[in-house]
Amino acid sequence: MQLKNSLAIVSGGALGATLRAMIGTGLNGVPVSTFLVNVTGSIILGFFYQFVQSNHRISGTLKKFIATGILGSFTTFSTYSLDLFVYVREGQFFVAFLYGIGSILLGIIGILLGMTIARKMRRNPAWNG
Amino acid sequence: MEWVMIAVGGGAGAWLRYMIALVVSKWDHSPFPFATFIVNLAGSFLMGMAYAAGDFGPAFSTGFLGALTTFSTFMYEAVTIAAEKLWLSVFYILISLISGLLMVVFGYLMIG
Repeated sequence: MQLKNSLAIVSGGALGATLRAMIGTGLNGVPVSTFLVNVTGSIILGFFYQFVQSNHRISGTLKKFIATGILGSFTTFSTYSLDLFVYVREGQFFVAFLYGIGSILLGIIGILLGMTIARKMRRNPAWNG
Repeated sequence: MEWVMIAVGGGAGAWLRYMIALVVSKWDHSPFPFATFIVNLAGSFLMGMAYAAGDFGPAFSTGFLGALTTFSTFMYEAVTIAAEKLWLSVFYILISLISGLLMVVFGYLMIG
């Protein structure tokens, strides 16, 4: 069981990090892409956690593959912190403030939006087969 | 080849994040999400070092550190904690933001 979970997380993590790299983050990346990746990942995670709450057919291993593996690795905190540091170091305090607070506000809105979409889908009979 | 290295680093980072969460869950039962907090701060510290060193390569920074740390889980925890204890959620967000930035500074100063 632990081996299965580990394999799910390693493969999900490899996939999530590669997807993020394809969008173009990293040390020399453009912070806009880190912002987009973090907000998009938050919307999908909010949706997914709400969705699995009402769908018990999704196994614990699949949950770990998607949530801990793919989405956990697709979004990133270390690059976000580094981007903030680079802005502060360059003296762009206002940009640092906007980026710092904006990522968190839109991340929270993203989680709530994803959860709301999953709830609405559940209420819609067309989605319940 | 670079993509393969990023994937390998990403897999390793995600796995370490999961292992830390397992270990932390054995002794910590507080509502504060210590596991995410720890990986995000450790990853930010190492990212500061990598930046000062002129990057240790995308497998380490983009792959390993990017995957070791997480923003989506951080946000999900902030939302779920807020439903119970709003002040704890605000504290979690602010302490993560400020100490994440400080950790990058410390890592940077270790090398630079």
